[in-house]
Amino acid sequence: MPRKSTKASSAEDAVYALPEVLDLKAATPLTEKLMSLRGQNLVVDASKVERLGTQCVQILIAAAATWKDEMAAFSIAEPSDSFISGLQVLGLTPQAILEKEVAQ
Amino acid sequence: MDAMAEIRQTFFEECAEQLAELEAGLLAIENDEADSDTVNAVFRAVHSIKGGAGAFSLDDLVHFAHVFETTLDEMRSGRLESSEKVVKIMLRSADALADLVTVARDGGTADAERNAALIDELKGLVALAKGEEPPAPSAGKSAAAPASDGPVYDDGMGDLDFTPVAVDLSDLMGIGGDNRFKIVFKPSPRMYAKANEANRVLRDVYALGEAKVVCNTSEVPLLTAIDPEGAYLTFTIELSTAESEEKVREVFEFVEFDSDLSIEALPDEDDDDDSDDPDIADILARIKATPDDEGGADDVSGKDEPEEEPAKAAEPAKAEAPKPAPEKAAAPSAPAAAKAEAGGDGKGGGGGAAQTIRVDLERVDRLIDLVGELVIHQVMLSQRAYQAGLARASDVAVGFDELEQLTREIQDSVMAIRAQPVKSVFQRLPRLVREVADISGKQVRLITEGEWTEVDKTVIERLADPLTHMIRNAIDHGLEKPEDRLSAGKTEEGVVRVAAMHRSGRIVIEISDDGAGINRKRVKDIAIKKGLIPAEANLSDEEIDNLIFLPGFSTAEKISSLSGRGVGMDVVKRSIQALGGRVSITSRPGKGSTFTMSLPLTLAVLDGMIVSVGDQTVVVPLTAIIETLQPKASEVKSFGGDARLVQVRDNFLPLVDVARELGYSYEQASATGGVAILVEAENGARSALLVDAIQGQRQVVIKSLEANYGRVPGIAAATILGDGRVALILDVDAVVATSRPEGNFFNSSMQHAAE
Repeated sequence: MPRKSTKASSAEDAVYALPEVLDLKAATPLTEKLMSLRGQNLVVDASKVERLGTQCVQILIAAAATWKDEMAAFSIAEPSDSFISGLQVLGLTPQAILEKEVAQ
Repeated sequence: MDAMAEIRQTFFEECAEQLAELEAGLLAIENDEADSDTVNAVFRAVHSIKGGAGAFSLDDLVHFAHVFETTLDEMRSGRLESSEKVVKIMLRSADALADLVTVARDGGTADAERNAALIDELKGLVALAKGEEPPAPSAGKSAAAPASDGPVYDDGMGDLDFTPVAVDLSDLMGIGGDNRFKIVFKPSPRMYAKANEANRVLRDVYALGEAKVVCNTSEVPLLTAIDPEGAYLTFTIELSTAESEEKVREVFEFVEFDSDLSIEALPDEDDDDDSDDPDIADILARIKATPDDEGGADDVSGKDEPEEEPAKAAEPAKAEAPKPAPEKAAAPSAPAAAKAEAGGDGKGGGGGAAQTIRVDLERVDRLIDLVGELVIHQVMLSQRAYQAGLARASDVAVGFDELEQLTREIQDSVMAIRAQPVKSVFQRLPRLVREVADISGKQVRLITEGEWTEVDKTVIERLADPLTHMIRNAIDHGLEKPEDRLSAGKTEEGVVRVAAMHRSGRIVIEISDDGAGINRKRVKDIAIKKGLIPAEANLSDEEIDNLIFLPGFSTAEKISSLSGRGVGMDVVKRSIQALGGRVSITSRPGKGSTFTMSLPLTLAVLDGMIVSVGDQTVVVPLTAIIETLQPKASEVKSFGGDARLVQVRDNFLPLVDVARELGYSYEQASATGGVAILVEAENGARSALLVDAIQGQRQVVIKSLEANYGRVPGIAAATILGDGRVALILDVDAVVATSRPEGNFFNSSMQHAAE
């Protein structure tokens, strides 16, 4: 298990380390993985991400909204530089992902 | 074939087209016939190959295509000048790309060393294009590209690469300018499926100037409802740049049709008002109205991965509803789509590309077969009707005439389906010429003419080998070394001209060079030395020229990698004859040589002489026949057991009794009662075929005997005559060969040379 998040660190939180490459091919596995982690507080460890495709960003946004909808905690821990810059190119920040409003 | 293999095959077919386009484009650039569309077309070709290859994880191919594309991009944007040196590297890269495609398709290994060297050269060009910037990848839109060349590069998605270092957006930004645009860019799932990435496009936008991007995430559904490969984000970019609107649109060139895009110039600085491109606006409007029009290509995917359809009902973005799983399956169709767009986006107009369909060759062949039957039955029907006493002037007879015309027309049109321009063979030639020129150290310019001349597909396929051989020959033997050319008062660069044309129902291909011509003395000496002709033979110039078609003839004194192994022009001649063609040569000392080959337009019909043998009707292919004669008793000599010779002018030729060879009779036919047909076999040996009578000469539709019955020695195929009877088509070579198992002990080469 990767390092615990500094922010949300209650012992019951599940931690999921994102893979290094989040491209088109990673989109479906990522969705499935996140679906399987539903219903508990989740810390997404983004420290290893080296490549970030647009579709995986969409999935992370959807996940954040879903967790919010289900009243569970969702956070992104230790985002790597690539992760941040990948978001920046799309005009986003890690914070922006978490702030997505629940689609009605 | 399963669906994936089928798609893969389509991908490779399209690769071939893209490669052809690439080469044609580069050659146009080399000859200064290029405009901006050409460069774009070249770029698109490489891009499409890369995109498709990515979907199949053909890493080597993607990698190379990626570097190539990056370099082409520099050229496209005008930063890299298309100098001769640059184009040469590009051409070689195109060759290497073609090799990689072949390797990906057929297995084997590519020349990794050469490719690596080419990649370095290409990168060198990119660095050059950047001028004062250091070659190390640092900033700008190419920052992502060279990074992908490193060892981290491991998947097929070149476009998705990120440099694994912090990228400050300000690094990506170009310099701001006076033009300000508001761009709303909403990718559709189709765009991702084609291996285009939004972030790549955005980086390209940033490179144009100062950009502020806002991402609208409101359409992203909940995780339960998301299509992992859908498209939900909308980007609003405010760009201030020195570039024109056109430049900005160029960035979106590849994604324009797969996304909702609006670019508007913002007020205050509006030199370019957006009304200057009503075409594009119009197209965009139409695309918006029918967002899924290009769906046809994606249909294939349906059968591939149907399981990937999450609850789409809940999806808010209805207009852009992603189709089920476009993913891998759709990606290979990308080249097709890109191609379709090619006609449009260059000029901003739509639908210029020719409409074509891909049809399985088998289906066409079946159609041709059926039409052949139709023709036969039509003839039979009218013959029967006349036999039954139908008056020639009756309405029915007029109807028959019209029917006949119609069926002929149908036959011609169906044959035309199989016809293809020889371009597909011709476009392989420039590469061949480059390679041979490199090896032989000569400078060669290739001129091709008549590349749109059409000929049957089967002929085209079998044309490539002899043509290759002849061109290699023309460069290696025909053209002189540069220094020899200069001293002969010619330009250093030799010219090889390949021209195709239609002549009286056949296709004629001329290969000419402006070299030294055939050295007749040397050719004759070699032929004598090799024992191909007697030392005292007195030959005309033309006969000497034709000596080079003899088996075992080779002028090269030392064996080079190009020629000199004794497999030479005789092979060429044989393969052309196997196609029912002929080859001849004319040569002028000091001016060059011209090889002319003449081939039938199709292998489905054959010009034949209809002859009677016993009570059978047999067809002798006209291409084999030289002349016919009625032997006199004095000209026929017997020798040995029951072998006979016939004297034709100064030569004795073996007389082959066709009826006996085919087993129609066991008695020796009377030589004087029949007709002797002088034929030349593929190896140049001549014989006389003895038949009973000549009925006439006509075109017959070839029916394969192997497919319908079985192989019969001495018979090449069958046909159905107008009266409905089957006639056999004689395999001249086989009949002549079996009549003389010990081979031709006459000096066949002399006869051949005397042709």
